[in-house]
Amino acid sequence: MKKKLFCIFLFGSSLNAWWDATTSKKPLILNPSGDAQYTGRIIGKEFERTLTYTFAQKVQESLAEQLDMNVLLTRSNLESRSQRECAHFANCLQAQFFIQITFFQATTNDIEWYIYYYSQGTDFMRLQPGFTFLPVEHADILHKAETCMWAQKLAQFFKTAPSHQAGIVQGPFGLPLTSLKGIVPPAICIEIGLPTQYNVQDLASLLVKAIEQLPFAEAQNT
Amino acid sequence: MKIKTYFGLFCSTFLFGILLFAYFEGWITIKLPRYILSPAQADHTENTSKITLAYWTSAEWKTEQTHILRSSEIEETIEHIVNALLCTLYESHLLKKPVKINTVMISTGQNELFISFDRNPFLKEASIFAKWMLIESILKTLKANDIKIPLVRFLVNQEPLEDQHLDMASSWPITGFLL
Repeated sequence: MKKKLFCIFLFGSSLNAWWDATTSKKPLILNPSGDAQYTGRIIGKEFERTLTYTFAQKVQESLAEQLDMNVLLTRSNLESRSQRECAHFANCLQAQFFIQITFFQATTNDIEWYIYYYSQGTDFMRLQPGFTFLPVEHADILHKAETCMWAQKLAQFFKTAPSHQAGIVQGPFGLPLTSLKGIVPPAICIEIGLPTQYNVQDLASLLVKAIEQLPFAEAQNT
Repeated sequence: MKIKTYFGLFCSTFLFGILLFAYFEGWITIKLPRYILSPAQADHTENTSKITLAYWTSAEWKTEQTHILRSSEIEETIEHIVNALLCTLYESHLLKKPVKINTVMISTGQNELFISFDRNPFLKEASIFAKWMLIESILKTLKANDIKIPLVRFLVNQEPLEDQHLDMASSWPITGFLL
């Protein structure tokens, strides 16, 4: 009797875990550049870490409101975390998409958008069937096609957006970026060049609109 | 032992201790005589030759011709080429600080080139794109001057070049990342 009860309990708990995994929303992870130890660049009179965090919070709120999306930030306002921790966070949660956000002071009066994805110059590499050991710097190849396609879609959206909103758009470029190393889910880095006058809310709204175009967001919307 | 011997021993060890302390603190340096190669022993020759420098400025690639001393040793030639590029970039105000090459080394398999700068060439405030274009300028210049080593690794004072954005821990292909 005890054995039967134990088997039923085991079956029930595994069914529950499977149900949770299939129905729960995979998160979109936003990684604002900088932390308690690294202030980032100086933009106007503020540090990059403060601006990226404010921006990420606005994007998170908008996406949660408009698309009922599960959006997570990798850090709170003045918290420290390493790049490895962020990558581990994204991999463990099996994130839908990982976006690294960085800012810099633009030299022109236009907003500049640069889109990057991770590349080691080994884009010709393909996964072999069966079990294979994959070095951490090649984790990107698992979702390479999706990453490139989504980065292209975002860039296309910004390029077609009104010039007063988007400004100059460059990319997507494949580069060995420290912040995207070892991340298995599709991951990109958006670097925004801020002129002397800008509105963080407008920038956040534009990024939210761009994310809405992506297949996973569209599917969630319908 | 006499008191004089004790006193002498005390003084000499005390003096030796002071000297040793000063040496380890870097207050004094000891310079050993060096062997200087006579011109007859040096088997490398140098002659001037024309090289092409490529760099990114005002949203386009620019090329420029200049003369350097081309040595029979490839490391020395590479050092001259990259220094000429860095000098041009500094003079054109594309580099905010003067940067030079410390050392150039080639791996034994001749497939990896190590370039060591005397300081970090990247500005903290620079964008990823600006940093990338600086690296691409070096790679493009090397390629334009028939340097056929496939991988290049960048160092600062013989230590890995650390950057918050670009992963400089691994080697960069000489072809760069521009499509």
